[in-house]
Amino acid sequence: MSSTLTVTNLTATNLTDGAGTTSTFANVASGTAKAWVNFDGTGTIAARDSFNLSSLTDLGEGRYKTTVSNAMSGTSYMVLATAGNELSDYATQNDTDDHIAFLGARTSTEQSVFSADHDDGIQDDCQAMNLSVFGDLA
Amino acid sequence: MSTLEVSNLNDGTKTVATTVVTNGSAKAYVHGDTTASISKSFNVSSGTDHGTGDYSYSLVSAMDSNNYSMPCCVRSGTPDRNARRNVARDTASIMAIETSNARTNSPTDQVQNATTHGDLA
Repeated sequence: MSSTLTVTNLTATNLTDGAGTTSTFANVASGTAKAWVNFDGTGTIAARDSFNLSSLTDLGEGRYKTTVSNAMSGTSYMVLATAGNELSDYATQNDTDDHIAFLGARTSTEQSVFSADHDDGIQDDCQAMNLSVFGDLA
Repeated sequence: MSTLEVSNLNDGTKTVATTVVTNGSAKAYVHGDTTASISKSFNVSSGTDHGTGDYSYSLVSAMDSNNYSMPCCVRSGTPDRNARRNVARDTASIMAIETSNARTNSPTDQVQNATTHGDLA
């Protein structure tokens, strides 16, 4: 027989899944990304999919700003960013599509991220920017 | 089967909405070596070495599309090495990573780390 119990607030020290694997709640809460996005950074930039994202801003060639809906607790959080490309583009030294992602300044709600050419370091729009944010929400 | 539906989780000090945990949890991660052999992973069944700097990892449980976020990096003691997502090879059930040498602008084998955020199918 299946059953469902619905509660609003649950206080727990450990969480155990159906297979018996236990994690401390602190690990689950701290290890969860508080925001993430996959966006097209070319032309009119747009998110393909996201979580806790309020907006994307195009700051110019290869320069972007992500804004989260729910703010982080400060500015000392961690951001992971990666550019997405096709392998053949840098294998053939295609200058227009061989990017590396860089992180810039941030606030509790905004993250600057850049994309530059692999071969010459010049900022350039990227077709698939991937970004995840870890830390504590405000 | 029993299901416990919870709006907020609290460890005694900190409260997090359950939606943050379900949406923000990594649905897969992998630490793969230079031949796509897996050192540590979650929700990854196997790795494939497609050639120099060209790797992919099959997921046990697929994502709902290939629109997930997949930050990745290399683990290397040599400067100028980097990793990117290979959008020519990734799918809802395949994480694809390419590694290269920025100094020579060419593919090179590297140990890679990647994580996936998004919704499972």
